[in-house]
Amino acid sequence: MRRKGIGWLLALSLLSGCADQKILEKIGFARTIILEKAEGQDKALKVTISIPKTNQTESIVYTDVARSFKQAKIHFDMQNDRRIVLGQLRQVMFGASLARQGVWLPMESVFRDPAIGIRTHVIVAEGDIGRFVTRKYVQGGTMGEYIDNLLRSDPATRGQFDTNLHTFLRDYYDDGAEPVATIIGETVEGLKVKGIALFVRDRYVAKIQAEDAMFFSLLRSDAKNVSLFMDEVETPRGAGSISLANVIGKRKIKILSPPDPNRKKPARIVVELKLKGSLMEYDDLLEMNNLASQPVLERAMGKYVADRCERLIREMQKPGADGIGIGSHVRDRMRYKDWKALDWNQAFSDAEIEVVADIKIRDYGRLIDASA
Amino acid sequence: MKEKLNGFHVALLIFMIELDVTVFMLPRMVAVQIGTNGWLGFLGLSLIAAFNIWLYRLVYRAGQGRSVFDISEAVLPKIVLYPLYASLSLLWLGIGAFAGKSFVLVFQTLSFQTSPPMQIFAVYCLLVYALLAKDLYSIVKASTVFFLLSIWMLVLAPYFFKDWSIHRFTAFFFHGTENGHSLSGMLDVYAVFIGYELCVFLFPFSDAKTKLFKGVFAGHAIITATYLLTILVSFGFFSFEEVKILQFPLIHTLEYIEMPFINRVENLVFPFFLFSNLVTTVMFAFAARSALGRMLPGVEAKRFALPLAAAVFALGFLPSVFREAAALIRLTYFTETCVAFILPLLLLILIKIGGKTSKEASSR
Repeated sequence: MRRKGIGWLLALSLLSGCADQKILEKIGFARTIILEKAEGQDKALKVTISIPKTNQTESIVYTDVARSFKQAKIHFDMQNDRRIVLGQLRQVMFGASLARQGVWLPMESVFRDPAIGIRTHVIVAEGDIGRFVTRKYVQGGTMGEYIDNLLRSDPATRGQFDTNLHTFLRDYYDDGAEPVATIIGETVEGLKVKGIALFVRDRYVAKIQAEDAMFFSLLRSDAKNVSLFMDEVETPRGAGSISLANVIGKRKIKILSPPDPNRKKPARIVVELKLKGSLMEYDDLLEMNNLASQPVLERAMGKYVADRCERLIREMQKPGADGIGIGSHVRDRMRYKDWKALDWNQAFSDAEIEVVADIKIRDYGRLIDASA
Repeated sequence: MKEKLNGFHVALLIFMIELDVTVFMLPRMVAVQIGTNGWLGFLGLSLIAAFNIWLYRLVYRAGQGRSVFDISEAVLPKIVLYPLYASLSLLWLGIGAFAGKSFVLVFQTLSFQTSPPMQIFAVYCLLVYALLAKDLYSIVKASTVFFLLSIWMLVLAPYFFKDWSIHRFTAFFFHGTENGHSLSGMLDVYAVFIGYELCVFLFPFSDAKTKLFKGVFAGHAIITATYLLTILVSFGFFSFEEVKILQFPLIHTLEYIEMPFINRVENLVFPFFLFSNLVTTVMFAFAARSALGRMLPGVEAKRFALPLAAAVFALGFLPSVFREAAALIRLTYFTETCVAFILPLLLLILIKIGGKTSKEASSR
């Protein structure tokens, strides 16, 4: 009797797992969701979803115009022979025009779903998305896989910041920072990181060009393993290009004075960059290739980086998009009431921001030019 | 000689009773109810809980280790006490049931979304029964093992350092709450500590040598440190406004962990919270068992296990969706907080009266 009871209990506890089964072969793991503006319809979204086939090189693509992402998913489920699940979603892509309009509603729907991982990349896509979602890539794998690997290995953002659901929402809710997202576009060979999208709240307002993305990542946080290419470094002995590799960057934000709207005084801020890297190229500046002139070179590079970063910040100030989170440092220096009364986006636009860069050449590769 | 509870085991037991489903929402509660840098206020609440524990220590000293029942029955007639025992038992069973059911409902946001929750809860109650059928020493030994299965999660904390920033704490203190600071808001946060008051049922299992209260204070200190770490990680990892809108910030942080060979780790880590939650349910049911056992002295303690597990299961039917479970958790935990404070005061008064009457009796 007792043994029988135990048997039943065991069966109950073990078999209850079978009520809610998900069989791997009967599930379609969506890799990518693409959300675009539906032409001519205000309240509709154009939703595209990409599900890799089991051979991992082709994918099934569905497109639908619907009121929301979830409605579209129901439509896709009606067509697909496997149940579509979102647990392995790798990226949410917004069409550039939808992003300019604001992404909050679809974004919230994605974020609310506990099935979707918060490391899912948030991407703004440029160009004809309909084409590149179906394209075949020599890089191997499907588009979803390719973009995922691309973003993780992209030199500007590698190891510094993934623009994923977590960072996007964190900065969206932070009143002292604005979100950013990676921009992806098409090239002949495949896809390319075309820059970084700056947001104000949920609207894409400005673009940082791919060439500047490295400098942006130095400004945004401490950085590791960055490669810097400086095209026109002015030295006492002429101008030339310099390339630094394996750069380790430390960023420090100093608030000289917080903004004072009553007296119409803008904030005064200094961003200090301390970089250390290996000198890899200085082809046009061969007269400088001796150890004695390295401090001169370091100062020249410092000036170049500071100027370029300042230009970058001016660009960010135009739309008032504080993508590097200076606001959170300003906030530390203000009283609660004053901070709440402050329109930081405006104050950021008005702020006087200076960049100081201190660059050290850690080593200079395989060649030593001491005698030259 | 009767086996006594070691202070070390008591510490782990208190840790496990306090740690339950409320921890998932703790950072949000702190942000919404206490505001920016709420961790400081949280430490204040922990001190209040420590004060409460100190009151129990007074009871223990004054009552010379007599059990709650002995103290109260020495003064009050059974007809007054029995309804009190019964209603307290119901409250404790309710806490155990709602904590368990909430855990199941939270679990179902991650996996087994469409299984009937009561089916999962039935398995949970099965575990409750298995533990409840044992004596306290066995429960404590099991909870020591469960402690090891839970505490390892602390090593996950350094994972978040890279994306953690002190500036997200802001330099403001206790600003940005939803509706100012209210007593009910503080109680919402205080609910995470509920559980330490069960130390009162450990009196008969300890003596002067076992250092019961050293254990209780140590357990409370460990759990406070653990909670504090949880809050600090969340406050620096999320922005302040974000913590306020995240349903379960703790689960959300776990979601961020990614290993080279596996992602979405939360599905693996989350079930480990089962153990601490289970100990909470079992110990509250044990409290009910102690009270009911006093009313029915003829019944063997083990015989209570099945009806009590069944009662927990039955109470689990009350909340069917998370909103209801959260409301019931609030209700029962608030009541229990009041009980936790009133009980030692009441007992101290009873000891005083009882002391007089026994003296009078001896002088006569």
